[in-house]
Amino acid sequence: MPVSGYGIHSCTPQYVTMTEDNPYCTDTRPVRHKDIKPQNILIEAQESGTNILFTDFGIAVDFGDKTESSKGTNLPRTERYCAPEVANGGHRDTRSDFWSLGCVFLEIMTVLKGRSLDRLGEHNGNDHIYYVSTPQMMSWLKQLEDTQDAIASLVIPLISSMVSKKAKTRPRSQEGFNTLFGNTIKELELRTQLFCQSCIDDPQPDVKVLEEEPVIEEPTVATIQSKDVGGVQATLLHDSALVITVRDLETPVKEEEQDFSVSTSEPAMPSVDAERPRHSSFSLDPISSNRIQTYIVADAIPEMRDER
Amino acid sequence: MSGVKDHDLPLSVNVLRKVLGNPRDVKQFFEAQYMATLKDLTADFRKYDAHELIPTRTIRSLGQGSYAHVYRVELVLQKREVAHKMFMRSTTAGSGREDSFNTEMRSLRKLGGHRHIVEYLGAYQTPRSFGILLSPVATCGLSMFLRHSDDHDLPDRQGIL
Repeated sequence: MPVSGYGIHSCTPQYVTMTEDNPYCTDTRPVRHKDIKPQNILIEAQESGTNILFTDFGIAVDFGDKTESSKGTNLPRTERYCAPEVANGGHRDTRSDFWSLGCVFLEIMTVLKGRSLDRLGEHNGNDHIYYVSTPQMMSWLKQLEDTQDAIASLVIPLISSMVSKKAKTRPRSQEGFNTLFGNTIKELELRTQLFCQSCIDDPQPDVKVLEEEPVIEEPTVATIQSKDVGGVQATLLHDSALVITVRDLETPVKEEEQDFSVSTSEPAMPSVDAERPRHSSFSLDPISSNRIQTYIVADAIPEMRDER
Repeated sequence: MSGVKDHDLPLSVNVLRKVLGNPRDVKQFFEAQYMATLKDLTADFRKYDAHELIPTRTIRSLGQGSYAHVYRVELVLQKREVAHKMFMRSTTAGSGREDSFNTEMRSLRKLGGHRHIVEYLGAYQTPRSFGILLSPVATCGLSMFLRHSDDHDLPDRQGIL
């Protein structure tokens, strides 16, 4: 469906759809990409239309692993689209991804309004690194404003909030995004132009907001996601005890047979006192009849290493 | 070699030496037998040993990332074209490649089936490399699209716009 004034039509909806459908924001799909850039967004032309696809999850963060450092800086990432707090080695969370996505939206809007990315680069006056030129980005967005263009009038303020230097003003979840943008569009016609049909049919209104990633300095409770192994769950507590809960009541797992597969990300390990005696206790939970076993972390660490 | 069936393969070098004798024949048979023992790649995670053949036919390179090459390949058993992301295993310890591979595999498994995420078909490991199979082979990247938005020769431009 052509949108007047663009000369390009349904691609805006397709791209904006990315966030409406953003997987990083739902509790069922807790992964943060960490390297959102146009090179990692693919376009697939199908008979039914165009689909966009995120790719390259090589440095993504799995939110299931709460112990992942939110300050690690040794990973390769793209300077150009990275958020200011990421570049400065500060606290980062889903809002850092929204910054990168905002930069991508900015480029899309630039091209949609008939400007080239080279002109955007000249305007920003630097080596194409966005986080050092937020004032220029704002003034560029002002230049792109067009009161005759209903979609641009909606999307440009959204981009402004996404590329805000202060992470607090950015959306950090699909819910936040909807509050900021999606829910304000009442006109069905505009909605169908901006979002793909599946997003309209299934807006996922009850998505929970992810907790912020904990900072490594204050490790509290680390949940180690057990791989699909018959209801065995392992929890690493900050008081240095690994609690393994066996849920399967039909066939209780014997102590020595317990096979807990630990996810492979490096958990933040408290330092272990080598002098501490190895100790494990075994008890029956009186309420659920689940068997609960407590290991001292000193016992668990070698086993976790073996799993890796 | 009578009585040997496909499911007996692969035969070890020692067995082949006894049966065939001639070292050249042994070498030829040893290498060729893996053609008959192709393992389906679209399994969650498969390990291949050094002599086994990865059942793909490379069509062309699609690009290179910091840790991996991406190729357009045909899955020989399925006759289907997919993207193949290949990480060479580094000889130096502490390289980020293995981590990157594991991160990507874990994330894609978890995200599986999302409309706007590439589909994870399977992964494998050989003594020299890791690989992830992804679908679809995209028409083009958004970056190319943004840079050349007035290039009318871009494939499927009409479909995208």
